[in-house]
Amino acid sequence: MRQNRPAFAFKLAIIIIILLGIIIMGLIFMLNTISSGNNPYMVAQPAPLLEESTEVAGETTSNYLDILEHYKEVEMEEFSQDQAKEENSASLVSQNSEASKNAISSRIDTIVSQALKE
Amino acid sequence: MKLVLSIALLFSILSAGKYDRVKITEDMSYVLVYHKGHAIKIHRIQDIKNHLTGTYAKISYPCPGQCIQPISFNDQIETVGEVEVVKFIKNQVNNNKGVVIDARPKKLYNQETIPSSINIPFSLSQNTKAMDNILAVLGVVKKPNGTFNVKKAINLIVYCNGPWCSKSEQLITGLLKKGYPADKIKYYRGGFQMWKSLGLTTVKTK
Repeated sequence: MRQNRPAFAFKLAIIIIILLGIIIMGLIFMLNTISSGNNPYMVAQPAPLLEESTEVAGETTSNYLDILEHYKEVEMEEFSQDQAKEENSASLVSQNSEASKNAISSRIDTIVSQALKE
Repeated sequence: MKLVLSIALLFSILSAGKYDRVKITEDMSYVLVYHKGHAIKIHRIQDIKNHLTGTYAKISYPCPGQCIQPISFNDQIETVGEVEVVKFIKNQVNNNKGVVIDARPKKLYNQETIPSSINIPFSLSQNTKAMDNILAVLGVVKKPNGTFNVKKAINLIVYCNGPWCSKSEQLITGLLKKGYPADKIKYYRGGFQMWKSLGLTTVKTK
C-alpha cells in the first residue's frame, strides 16, 4: 500500500499540471479573442438592406433616409498589404494585381459617376 | 487513454484557426482580396447563433415588379452560387482575370457591398456612351467598322439585391447587346441577400 503512494502522487501531479495547462490555454485563447477587436462571438450584424429601388440611378428611394437611421456598422477587416500578401500568397495577391485592379475599379467608378451626373 | 484523447481534442479545438468555427467550405476558411486599396478577409460570421436582422431579413416583395427570378434567364449565361463567387474572387479577381459587378444603384453599393466588387448600376445599360466606355475598360474594343474585338474581355460575375431582383438580368442583357461574350459572364442569382444570409463579409464605402 505504501509503495503505491508515490506512484499515485506522481500521477495526480501530472493530471493537475495538465488541467492547469488547459485552463491557462483556455484563458489565453479567450483573452486573445476578446482583445483582437474581432471577437467571432460578438460579430456586428451587417447593415440592413434597402428595399430594392425602382428609381432612376442618382435618385434615392423614398425610405432611404429612414433606413439610414437604422444603419449599423458592417463587419469589415482591414489588413496591411504586406500582411495580406503574406497570408494569401497562394492566391497571388500582389502589388501589381492590386494596382491593375484598382485601375479597372477607379476607371469604371469615374465613368459611372460622370454618367450619373449627366 | 481517455484522458489523453480528451486533452488532444481540447488542444485541437483551442488551436483551431480564427475562422475555422464556421468555414466557407470544408477546405476554405477565408479568402483575402483587395477592395478600394484595403485588403479584406472574406469569411463567414463565426457566431453560430447569429440571425439575419434588418431589412435584408425581409423575405417578401411585391410582384409584379420584384418577382422570383428563374435559376437561368438565358441559356448562354451560367448561373453561380456563393462558393463559385468566392472562388472566382480568389482565382480570377485576384489575378486580374475577372471582376464582380454590383448592378444595384450606387447608393446601395456605397452602403454595403461584396468585397472587391465594382458598381455598374443597371440603369446605365441604356446609356450607350457610358456602356461603350465601360466595355473598353473591361477589355472590349470597338473597331472602326462598328464591330467589337472581344478577345481581351475579362470574366464577369453580375449580381444585384437578391433572387427577387431583376437588375442583374437587365445589366447582363445590356452587356450582351453591346457584344460582350456570353461565355465571359456569370449570373449570381442569390445576390446580396443570399451573400448576407450566409454571414459572408461585406464592406462599405466610407
